[in-house]
Amino acid sequence: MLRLVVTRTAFALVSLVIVSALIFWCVEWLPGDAASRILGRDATPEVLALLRHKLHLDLPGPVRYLQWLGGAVRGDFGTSLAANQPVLDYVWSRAANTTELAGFVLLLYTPLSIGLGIWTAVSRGRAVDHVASILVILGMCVPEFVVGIVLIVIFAMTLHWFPPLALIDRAHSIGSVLSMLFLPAMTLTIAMTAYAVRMMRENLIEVLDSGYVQMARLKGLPRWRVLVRHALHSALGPALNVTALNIAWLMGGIIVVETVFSFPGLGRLLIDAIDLKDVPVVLAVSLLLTVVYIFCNLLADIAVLLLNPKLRHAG
Amino acid sequence: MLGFFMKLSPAARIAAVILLVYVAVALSGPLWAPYSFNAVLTGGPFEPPSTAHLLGTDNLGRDVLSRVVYGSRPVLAMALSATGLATLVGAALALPLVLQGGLADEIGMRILEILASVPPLVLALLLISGLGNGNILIVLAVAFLFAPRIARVVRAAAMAVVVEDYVTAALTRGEAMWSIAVREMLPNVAGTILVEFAIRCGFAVVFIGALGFLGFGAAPPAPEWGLMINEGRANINASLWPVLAPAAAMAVLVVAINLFTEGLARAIGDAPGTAP
Amino acid sequence: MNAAAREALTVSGLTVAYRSDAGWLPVVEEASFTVREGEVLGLAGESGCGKTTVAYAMLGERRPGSRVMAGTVLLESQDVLAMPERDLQLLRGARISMVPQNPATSLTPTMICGRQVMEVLEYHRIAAGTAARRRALELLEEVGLRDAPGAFARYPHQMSGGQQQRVVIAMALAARPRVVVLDEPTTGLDVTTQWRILRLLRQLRDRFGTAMLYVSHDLAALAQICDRIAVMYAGRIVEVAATRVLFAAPRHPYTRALLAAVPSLDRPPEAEPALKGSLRRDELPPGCPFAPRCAFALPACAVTPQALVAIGVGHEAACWRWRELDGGLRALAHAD
Repeated sequence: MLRLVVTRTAFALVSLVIVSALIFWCVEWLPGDAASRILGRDATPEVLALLRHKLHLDLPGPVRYLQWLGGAVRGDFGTSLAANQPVLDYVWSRAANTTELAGFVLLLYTPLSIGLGIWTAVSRGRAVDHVASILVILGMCVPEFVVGIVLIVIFAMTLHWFPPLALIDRAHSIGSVLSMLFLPAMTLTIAMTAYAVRMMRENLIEVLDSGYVQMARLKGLPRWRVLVRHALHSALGPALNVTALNIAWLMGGIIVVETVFSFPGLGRLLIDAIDLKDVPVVLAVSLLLTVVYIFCNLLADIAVLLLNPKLRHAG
Repeated sequence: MLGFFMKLSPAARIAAVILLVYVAVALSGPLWAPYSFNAVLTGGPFEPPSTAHLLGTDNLGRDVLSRVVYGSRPVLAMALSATGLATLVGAALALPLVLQGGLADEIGMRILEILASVPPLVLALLLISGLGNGNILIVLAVAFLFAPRIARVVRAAAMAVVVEDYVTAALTRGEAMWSIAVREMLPNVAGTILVEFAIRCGFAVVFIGALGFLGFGAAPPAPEWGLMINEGRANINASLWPVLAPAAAMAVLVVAINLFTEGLARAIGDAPGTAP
Repeated sequence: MNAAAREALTVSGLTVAYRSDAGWLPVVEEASFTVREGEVLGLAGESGCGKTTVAYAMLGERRPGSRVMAGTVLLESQDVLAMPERDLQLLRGARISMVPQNPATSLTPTMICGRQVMEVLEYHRIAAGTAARRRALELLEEVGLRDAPGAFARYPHQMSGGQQQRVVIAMALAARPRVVVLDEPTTGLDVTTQWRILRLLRQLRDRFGTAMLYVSHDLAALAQICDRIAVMYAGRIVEVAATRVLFAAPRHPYTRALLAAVPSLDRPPEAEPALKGSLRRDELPPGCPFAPRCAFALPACAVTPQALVAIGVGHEAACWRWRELDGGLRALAHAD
């Protein structure tokens, strides 16, 4: 078991290094190099060459990649070309915003998906289940940017309950931050919950039909005890698995949803940095999102292993 | 064909009809769309729906209905070609790997896993900003992202087939790899591949729409739904129609693809081993 | 067996139907029997005869898609079938418990075995905390698990099938119920383990006087443990007798056929016709359900309903030809 976790983790780290090289290589393709972007169009070739040398742009690609990776490991991502400040500080404040958003999402997602997953499973075949299955399909299929805009139209423009944009900064009160975070968080929650409910429902139905759940009932245990200790416990592994995959999905979802709500987070930063050809920032944000993505996929694998006692005691 | 249609669930049948309508609109749209997709000031800006403009007009006075109708063409063409290419490449990678087995399979799979371990949207944005945002490049980028994920699914299905007697028999006969892959294995994993293709088509529509929405797809004034939604979003206070029309078109398309796929998977699952 | 012992479980007129395309299809019809205190009653029959449905009905458990159409199941003069869910909860595991067919799927995989036994004690308020733990260990010892503390801490998948079934039996006996229902408890276990489990059940019955309803298709297993045996065919009980009587002098042609199919060392291979065909629920005649497969059936059998009639002390059979078949059976068979 431990060996499996160690191998998976090692493989995830190797993947991360290779993927970071892939990202570095992609960003290299961005038209124009950093020196000409810093100096503008009027720079003389001599000055350009000097700056290129200073920025190590005259070194071959693999060497620069290793230099960058070495810096990244030590937390040094260089200086933002656009903001002219250390990339890390710059990325950090945006990452904090995105973390707030993601935290809010998980706060909504966890009770919703568990509650709806259980509810639809125990009331399978009844009206609730049919209505929920239609909503689940809508939540899974309809793109986040469409869901986000529909939420804006309903809750911001028609009902005026929440602001349509989420231009938060440190100056806002907690109340107004929460109210601005609500619609973007809800947009992400809808898609994630739909996947989770579908997974939970299918899984739980299988467990509820199992011999051991029947046995637990025939032992005279109360309904809640059967559900919580015997059924849910067995469905926990798959639920954590889908949650980890959902958080991995979030690494793409935030890019779209932060754009819909003009939210100053990592996703928006990535788009802006690509527009500005701010290579160090693009690299740093891409790497950060990839780290979380790979880490969550790893957690999803481990969740299945850990919470299945049959696998836990094997190997 | 009709027999297969009758095997589908009612929801999947409705979805199939909706998909046919989309295809028909995409093919025939230019013949009957009331205006050209980029004809400006066909009416005033932000007109509400009227007999002249069934879905109103946008900020430049362009007819929203015509733009949505024209917009079905790039969406369907790009999603189908990107997914088709990815499925082709994915299957072409997976089948020989499974037949080869051993170290080649192990290494090949690891490489595919690594390629699948990048957040797809991040990699797509980087690829497109580096390569350019021509339609063909977007198709290639999406195919590149989907291929390793499809290859993993096809591999899993092929693993179950490779141990079958007819494959072993073909191997003992000394048949060429490609011939076994195409003649013995492909028919038996065709159902899986078809379902995977259908699932990915839905993803591709959303993905390409998201790229357009983020400004990484077609450039204005292209009638691309994602782009139209983003443009309309800026003027959402003036009129909802330029946003909601393409949004609804996209949502219905994706839901229809999904429902059809579920019905397809179930219909194929009912008769295992028979290639549809 | 002391015939005067009190009745622990009395079933009368139990009829259970399953939903089908053609409406409610009866799977158990008019089943009536009693299990006395300290007695083991066997319920024998081929798969699909409805015996598992009967077993679960004893605990008021309705299998998916089924409905109790008529009948009562009296446990200490209370009708289990008429009980609300809350009362059933108090009853199950405490006064009547179940040992299902497959121990591997009857134990929750994410819970150590000891806790699963402790649960019964805790929720029926027999013991709590360390007392419950101690009691659970005793129970695991009682069912013959050699390393009880080890078994307590193990997950089900870390045990053999025989050990798993012992844990299930420990759960079933934890609250000292008056009746235990066993549904094919040794099917799927190897022969040696089967024999050990049967011996354990006999010991437990002798020690605690627990009444048991032992459901099985395996007559050899039933012979080892049952005081009396009821034979079921197509949802109806066709013969009931003390085990020895049933084996020595079966009266119903179906029982004869079943017994003929049991391999035995001390009995020469019989010339009696073995069971032909298989049970077809969709082709049951209005009369005797066994008529289509019966070697001695007359044309009238298929249209004349048969009911259990007393044919000896504690011996009932549902065949109107039992008397003529009794002596001249073999001759009849050869004349065919």
